[in-house]
Amino acid sequence: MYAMPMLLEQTGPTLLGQVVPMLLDQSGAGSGSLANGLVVALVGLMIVFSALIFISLFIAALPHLLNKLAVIWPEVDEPVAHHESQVADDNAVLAAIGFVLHTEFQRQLDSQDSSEQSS
Amino acid sequence: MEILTDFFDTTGFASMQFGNAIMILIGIVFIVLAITKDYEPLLLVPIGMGAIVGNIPVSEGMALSVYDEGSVLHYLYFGVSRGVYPPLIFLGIGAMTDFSTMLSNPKLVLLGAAAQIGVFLTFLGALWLDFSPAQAGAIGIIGGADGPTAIFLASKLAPELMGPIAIAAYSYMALVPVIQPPIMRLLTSREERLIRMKPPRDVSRREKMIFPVAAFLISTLIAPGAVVLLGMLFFGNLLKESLVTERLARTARTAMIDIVTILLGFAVGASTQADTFLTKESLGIFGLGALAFAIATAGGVLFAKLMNLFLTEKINPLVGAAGVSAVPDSARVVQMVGQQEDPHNFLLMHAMAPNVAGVVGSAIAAGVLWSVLT
Repeated sequence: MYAMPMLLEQTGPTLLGQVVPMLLDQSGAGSGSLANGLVVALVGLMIVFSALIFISLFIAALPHLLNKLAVIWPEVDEPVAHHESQVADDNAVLAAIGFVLHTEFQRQLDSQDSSEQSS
Repeated sequence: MEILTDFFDTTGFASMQFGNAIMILIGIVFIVLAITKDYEPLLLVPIGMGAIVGNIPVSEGMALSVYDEGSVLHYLYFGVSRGVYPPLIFLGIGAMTDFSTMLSNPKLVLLGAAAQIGVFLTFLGALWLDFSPAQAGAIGIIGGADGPTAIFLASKLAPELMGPIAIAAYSYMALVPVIQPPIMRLLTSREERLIRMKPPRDVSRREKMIFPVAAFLISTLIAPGAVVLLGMLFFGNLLKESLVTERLARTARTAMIDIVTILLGFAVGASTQADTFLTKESLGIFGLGALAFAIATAGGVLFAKLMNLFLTEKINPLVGAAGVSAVPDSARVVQMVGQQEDPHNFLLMHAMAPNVAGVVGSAIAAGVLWSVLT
């Protein structure tokens, strides 16, 4: 934990921001030196990977942390929420149920008619 | 008669040049492609119309073009040139993104990181073609397959290349279903494409609420250059997941993002002038853009295969291609290619994890390039 601030000072954009301009100044940024660009590319990719690895590790640890937290602060099943979005969903659900019922009744009527005709 | 002659000299017909005519034609082509082929219509229609409007020749002294101080187009372009619009679009994207699939299988996040190799290899390719480092950085971010990020970084590093970069980025995003499948099939065996993955676990409400704040802190403390884009992305996501700001989240992912998209696309199109677009540099940008998408796809797929060497529960390597953050098109491409081998293999939800991780990864890459190359 105590080494982390020092490590962060010496890695990532801070180090990159100090080292890369020196390299660019030495060999001329205007000429687009591939070697300098390679340094930027490698360190940039390392930073992207580092950030996403840390995020990935946090996500993996989160359920365990929340399980421990749930002992003190249990999670409720029904979260506090405004219901206006559910009202819109209820109308859609009702419309879907109505459609299914209509289709089913129609199918039963059709099968009834066809059995009467065959008898 | 003299009055008529003077008036004629002020018309667009008198000052029309060949470059203007070509750009107007290109704008018309974009509109036609968007409407008839459904190629990213939400962007190509505004960009196409903007290109037509921006290339009508105007007489000197009339502040009408996007580069004339005081013109309406100039004020609309402010949001592009100062990088205001892209973060607002990210706010809307965050408000419509569901990170559950990523939360349920965190190792897939690494595939989003692997796809960003397309950004940095394209950066090297642009340097090799003698673009300046700042221009190379702006071109490289095309490989992130994220339109707002590409426009944001171009406005900071290479505003003179904004037009070709924006059009290359959005054009190739529309071509993801064409570019990706051959690369995916080339790099995977049939046995690998048939791998079925375990269904994602249920994610609790608390995880979804804590994630945006924690992910923002982690990513921006490592790469502070991404604070603007990722701050808005995760803010939008928090609006959605908190459940107590549904009204704000709904506005962000509907009206607000639509308004900003209209202004962004139109202003970018209007800024696409013949002297900056019809150049050999633009050809280089379009070539590098295609390479960027191909490398990003290959990077994600190959990294998935590498991970499988160490995993007991294998990842279908096709899912790696979804690290290209063209949400949700590249995830749909993974689903399509997977179902061509096995119609009962549903990879879409698994592919959404690297897809949204790629959005975060490309924003971090942009932040890094901006920090280093400014």
